[in-house]
Amino acid sequence: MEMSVEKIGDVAVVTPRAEHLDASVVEEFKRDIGPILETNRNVLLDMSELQFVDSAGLGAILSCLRRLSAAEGDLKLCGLSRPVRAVFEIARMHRIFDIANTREEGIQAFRH
Amino acid sequence: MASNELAASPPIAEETPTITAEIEEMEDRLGPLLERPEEPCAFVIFGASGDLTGRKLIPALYNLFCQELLPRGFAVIGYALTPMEDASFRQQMRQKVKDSPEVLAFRPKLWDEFAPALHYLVGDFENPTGYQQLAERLREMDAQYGCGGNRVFYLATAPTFFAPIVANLAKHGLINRNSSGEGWARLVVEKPFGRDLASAQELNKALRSVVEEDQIYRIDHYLGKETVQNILAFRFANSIIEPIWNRQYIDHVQITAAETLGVEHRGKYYEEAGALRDMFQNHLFQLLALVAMEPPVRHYGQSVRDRKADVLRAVVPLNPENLAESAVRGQYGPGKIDGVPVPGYRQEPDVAPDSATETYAALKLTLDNWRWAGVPFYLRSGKRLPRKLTMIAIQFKRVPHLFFRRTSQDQIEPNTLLIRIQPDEGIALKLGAKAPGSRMVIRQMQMNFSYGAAFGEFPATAYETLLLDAMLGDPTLFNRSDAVALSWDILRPVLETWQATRAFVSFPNYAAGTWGPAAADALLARDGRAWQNATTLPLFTPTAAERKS
Repeated sequence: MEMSVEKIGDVAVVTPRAEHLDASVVEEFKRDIGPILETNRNVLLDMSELQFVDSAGLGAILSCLRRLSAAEGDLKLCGLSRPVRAVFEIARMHRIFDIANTREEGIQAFRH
Repeated sequence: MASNELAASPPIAEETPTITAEIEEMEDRLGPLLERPEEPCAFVIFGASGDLTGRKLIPALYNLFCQELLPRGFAVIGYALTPMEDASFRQQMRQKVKDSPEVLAFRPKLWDEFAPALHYLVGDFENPTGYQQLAERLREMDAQYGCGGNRVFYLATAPTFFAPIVANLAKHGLINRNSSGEGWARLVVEKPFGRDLASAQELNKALRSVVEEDQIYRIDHYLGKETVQNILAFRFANSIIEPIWNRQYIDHVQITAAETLGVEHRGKYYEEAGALRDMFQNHLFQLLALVAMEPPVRHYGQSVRDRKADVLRAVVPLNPENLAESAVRGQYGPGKIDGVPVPGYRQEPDVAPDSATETYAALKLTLDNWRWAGVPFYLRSGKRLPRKLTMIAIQFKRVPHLFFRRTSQDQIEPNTLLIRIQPDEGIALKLGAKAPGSRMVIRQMQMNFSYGAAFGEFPATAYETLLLDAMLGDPTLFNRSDAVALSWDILRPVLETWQATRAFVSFPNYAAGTWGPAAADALLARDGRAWQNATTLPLFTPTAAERKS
C-alpha cells in the first residue's frame, strides 16, 4: 500500500494513500508499515485519506499500537473522517487510541 | 510530503464532538454497540493472589474498562490469604496487565484511571472474621463508587473452598437474595465443578442451599471464545448448512483438543484430574453440544441451554463391560516436540514415578436421537501431541456413485468441514476438484475462511465476554447444573472403570510428539475411519518436523 512517511522531530507521520483499509488490503498495509514500526518508536498515523476502515483494518491498526507499546513507543491517530471515527466508536476502540483532531495536535501530543 | 501541508490537514475536532448519526448508520449495517451494564456492581475475587486473577481476570476487566464496558459504578475487591496492601496489589496487577498478550494495548494513562478501583483484602476463606471485614469494605465501596449493593462474587480458588466461601457469604448476609432489601448478588464459579457426579451434586447442593440457580454462573472460558460462539452462527445463520447437518449426509464427527505442552508446573493438580476431568467434562462436551444441538428458539439463556442439555441427555451410556471399544487412555513417555527432547509424564515435577493418570483420552460417543442416530462422535484430547490444535471435523458421506474412469470411489476423499477453534481460527471445506490437464483426474482442494483475515486480529476475549455477561445477568454462555451433572454422568463409567483398573495400565503408551496411543487409531480403524491429523490437513501451516517428514 502506498504510504508517505514524514519525519517531524522524533515522530514519523505516516499517511496511507488509500481510501479503504479493509480485509482486501490489510495484509499489504501490515507488510508495508512493518519496516516503519521497526525503525520508529513514535508514529502518528494520518488517516485523512481513508474513507472506510473495517474490523480487519481496525485490527491491523491495533496490532501497530500493540507492537509500538511493547517497544515503549506509541501510536497516535489523526485525521479520522466521521465514518471512520464511527467505526472506532462502534468497536469501542476510540479510548484505547489517542485520537488527535489534526496533525499538529497529534505531533504536539507526543511532546507531553 | 512537505511540512507546510500540515496546516491543510482536515480539522475534525469542531465537527465531531458526537457522531451519533454515523454510529446509528453503522449500527444498522454492523449490529448494535456492545452493551454497557447499566447497573453498577462491586466485583469480588476470591483467590485474588492466584494465577488466574493476574493472567485472565484483571486483564479482562482492564480491557472492558478501556472499551467503556464496565458499569459506571464499579470497584474490585481482591480477597486472599496472602498479605498485601492495595498499593502492592495494584502494582502486581499493573505488571501482569502490561505483560499480558490478551490486553488490547497497555496504556499507562488508562491504567492510572482504572487502578484506583482495585482494592485488596487479606482474609481466610474459612474464617468468618474476614467476611465481616468484607461486608464492611463492600459498604464502603457502595458509598465511594456507587456500587448500589450489587455484587459479583468470583470464585477463583481451589474447588475445596467453593462451599465454605458460599456458606460464609450467606452467613454474613452477603449473597442471600434481597437479604438487605437492595441489590443483587451473583456467583461465578470456576471449573472444575466437582471431580465426578457425586461431588458435583454435593457442591451443587451446597450452593443451592443458599442461592438460587439463576444466581450461579458456572464458567467455562471455551464458551466465551469467538470461534466457539461462531459454531452457532455458522450453523444457524446460513440456510445451506442446516439441511445437511444430520445423519443423512454426515458420516461422523471428530472433536480434537491437542496440546504440545506437558503438565508444566501443574503436576499436583493433574495427578488428581487427568485428561477426562480436565478437558472432556467441560470443554469437549461443550463443543459436542454446540455441534449437535437442535436450533434454539432464541439466542438467550434457557433456550440455548435447554437445547445443549438435550444433546448430553441423548448420549448413549458407555458400557463398562466393553469399554475398550469406545474409550482409550494414554500417557506420554519421553519424546521430542519440534525436535527438542522432552521428558515423559512420569518424569515431570510432582508426578508419581508410577503414575497411572491419563494425559490422553479418546471416546467414541453416539447420540440416541432422530438427527444423529448412527453417527459416531469421536472426541480426543491429549498433552504432548505434535501440535496445539482445537478443531471439529465434520466428515460427510462419500458420493454414492462415481463415473470418472480414471478415479475410483475410494480414491476420492469425502468432503470434510473443518472448524478450527484455535489457532488459525476459521473454517475450511475439503472438496474434490478436477486437476488441471487434459484428463479427468480428481484431486483434493479446500476452501478456506480465516477469522483473522476477515474480521481482524484482535486479542482473545473469552474472559471479557463472560465477565461482561455475568455483570449484565446473561447466563447464556454459562453452564447450568443439569448440563454439569449430565456430563459427569456420561463420564462416570469411564472414570470408575479406569480407576478400578489403574494397576493394570501399561503406561507410557505414546511418545511425546506423536498423535497418541495406537489404540486410539484402532478405535477409528475398526469403523473404517481415521483421525484427521494435522499432516493430512494442508490448511494448517506444517510444523518444522512435519515439513521434514
